[in-house]
Amino acid sequence: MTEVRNRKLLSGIALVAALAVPVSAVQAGETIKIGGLAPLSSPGSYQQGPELVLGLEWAVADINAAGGLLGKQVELIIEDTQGRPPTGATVVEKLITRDKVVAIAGEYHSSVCKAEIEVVHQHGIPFVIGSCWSDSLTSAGYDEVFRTSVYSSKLAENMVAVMAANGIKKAAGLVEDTDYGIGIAKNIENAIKKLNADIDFQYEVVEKTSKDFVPILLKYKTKVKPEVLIVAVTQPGGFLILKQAHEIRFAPTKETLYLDGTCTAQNDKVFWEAVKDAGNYVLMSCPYSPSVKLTELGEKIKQRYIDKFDRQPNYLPLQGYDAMISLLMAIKNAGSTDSKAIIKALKALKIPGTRGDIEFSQEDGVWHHQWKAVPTFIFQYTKVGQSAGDAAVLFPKQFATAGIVRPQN
Amino acid sequence: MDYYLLAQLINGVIFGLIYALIALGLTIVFSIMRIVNFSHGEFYMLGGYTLYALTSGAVTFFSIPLSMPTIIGLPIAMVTVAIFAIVIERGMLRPIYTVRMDRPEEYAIILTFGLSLFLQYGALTAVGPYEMTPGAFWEGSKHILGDLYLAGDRLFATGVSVLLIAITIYFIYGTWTGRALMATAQNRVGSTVVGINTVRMNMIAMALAGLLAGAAGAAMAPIFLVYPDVGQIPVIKAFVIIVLGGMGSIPGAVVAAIILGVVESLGSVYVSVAYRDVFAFLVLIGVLLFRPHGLFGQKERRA
Repeated sequence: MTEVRNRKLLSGIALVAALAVPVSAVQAGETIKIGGLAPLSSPGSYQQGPELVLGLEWAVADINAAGGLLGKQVELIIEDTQGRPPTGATVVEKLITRDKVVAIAGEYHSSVCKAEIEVVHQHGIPFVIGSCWSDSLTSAGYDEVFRTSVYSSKLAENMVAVMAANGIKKAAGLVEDTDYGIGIAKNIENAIKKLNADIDFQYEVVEKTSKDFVPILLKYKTKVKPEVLIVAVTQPGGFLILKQAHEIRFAPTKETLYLDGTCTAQNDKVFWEAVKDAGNYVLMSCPYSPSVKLTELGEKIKQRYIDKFDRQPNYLPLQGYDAMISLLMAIKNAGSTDSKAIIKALKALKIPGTRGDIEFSQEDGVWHHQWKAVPTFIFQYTKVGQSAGDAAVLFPKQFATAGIVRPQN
Repeated sequence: MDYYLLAQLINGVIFGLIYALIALGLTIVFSIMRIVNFSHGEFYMLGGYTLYALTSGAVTFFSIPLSMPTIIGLPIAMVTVAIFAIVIERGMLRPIYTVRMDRPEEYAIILTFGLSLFLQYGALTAVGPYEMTPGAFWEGSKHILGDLYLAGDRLFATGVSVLLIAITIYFIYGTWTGRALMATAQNRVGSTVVGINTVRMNMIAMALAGLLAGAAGAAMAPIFLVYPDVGQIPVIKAFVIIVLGGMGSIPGAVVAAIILGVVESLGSVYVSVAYRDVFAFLVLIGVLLFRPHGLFGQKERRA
């Protein structure tokens, strides 16, 4: 009996192998391989990574549904970069040398992006950054590196503009110990000088994995007494800071506003589930507004997300989609998968993205291969459990629906 | 009067007591079983998730949403994690004592480390990546001193810590089973000779560790959220605490935890908050230079 079963099993395996080998060999020749990067496990921001991946996947799915590229289907190979720079560099090396991808898009952590751009630069492979905000990534000036996401100095200038417009004279920051966090703090300092704003700003760098932020928050509350606390710490650290600032009655209060610089608050259901009433009156600086009309493509992606998850999307699926669609359209325009041809096509690209027309600047510095017109907004929740779509828009002026509301304590 | 320093000290002591609860289970398992349980942080995580499942209404049992009061959810979460710990002991760790093997310590390290990763990724897959907060044990913020307000939940967790530390110390030093545990910690062969069932003692130690980790995870969930790797940093701190206090020493773990809480609190504001998690290791190195066996550690006798 066992022998019969074994023989059946063996013939089954042989049949599957016989069918699978030629099919996979044919498929290998018929696909264009693209690498996708995101943190999907600890210590990376595994809460954000899957949201970014959604955008990458949907862009590829849409292109494949429309017949693919250059007569071939696009094959997306997603790699988990775990929020670790060495892992990021390793998986990019693997994507290029073993999987033979023709281009790469994605990534969330700036410090990981920093390691990855060195590898793509070495191999000459085009890379469209999905959601790494540090200025240093584009200002490195690499020919292969493009960015459709927002960048730190732009966010910092917006925050300073809002503070100045509201007469805020003293601000304090808590930023995470990463390129992103420290970059935001430095850019706020630069923006204060650039805009000649009369704002006294000081900041402290915190470990984003810490649990107890009460000591530093108590120091700010007692000794510094800022009018606004700016937090650039990704979740869960950012959520803990908000909960604990509320716990010690420091912010958001009548005396001290709370500004989330990472936009983690925009994922409304997750945000309210985690922070409960501590989240009321929080301001957030984000690269997308659910209440401002998107492009036709953007509205389609937004609706697809709502249909799938029954909640408003945050900015990440849109940023992921924009990064990937830019890359795929550049390949289409280039009519080739040659790296140099794709890079040339990316430089000349002008396509409708989810949040506006995407084109890459040819200027130097932070604007090198940066989508300069990438939109940014500042919102405020004014009710516990409020949808991100109902949050008041404070900035930019043309979309503003309200001014800053302070709690009455 | 400036209460600032005192407020920081109080917060440090409170956080130290919370650390102590996490470290206690780890030190008990080490002293009795000679196993460094790398999955202790995931026992902590399971405590938080169990409380959330029992109290939030998000989970249904025979179509009835579970939304029991948190105060009832806490002991159930403790018992659930304790049962899970017993299953791990029976199913995975017992061969270390009942089967002849060359390197049992290495087996235990690899096994508990693997279990830790399995549980983290299991939670990520089963529950998802997002942070959750169960309902409160004690709503609102309470005025402590000067500018210091603390969440009722943080005070509740501190109370639970103090109570469970006291009960554990009484259990270990004041009951026959506790003394049998201590005897097992000091000499397994001798304990067997005098009639103590040391295999059963292992099970009791794991159950106790599960109870304490489950209590810590559940009591702290409303303050520090619940997510798949929530136990990672607390367990690293717990390792520092048990080495600092003396491997296997229960009073040592409590004292070391309070020292660590205070050093972190004061260091954050008087040195730099950027190095908060480094202070633990600086204190550890400093103490081990002068007391290589930790504050309360002994060469031969432990627990």
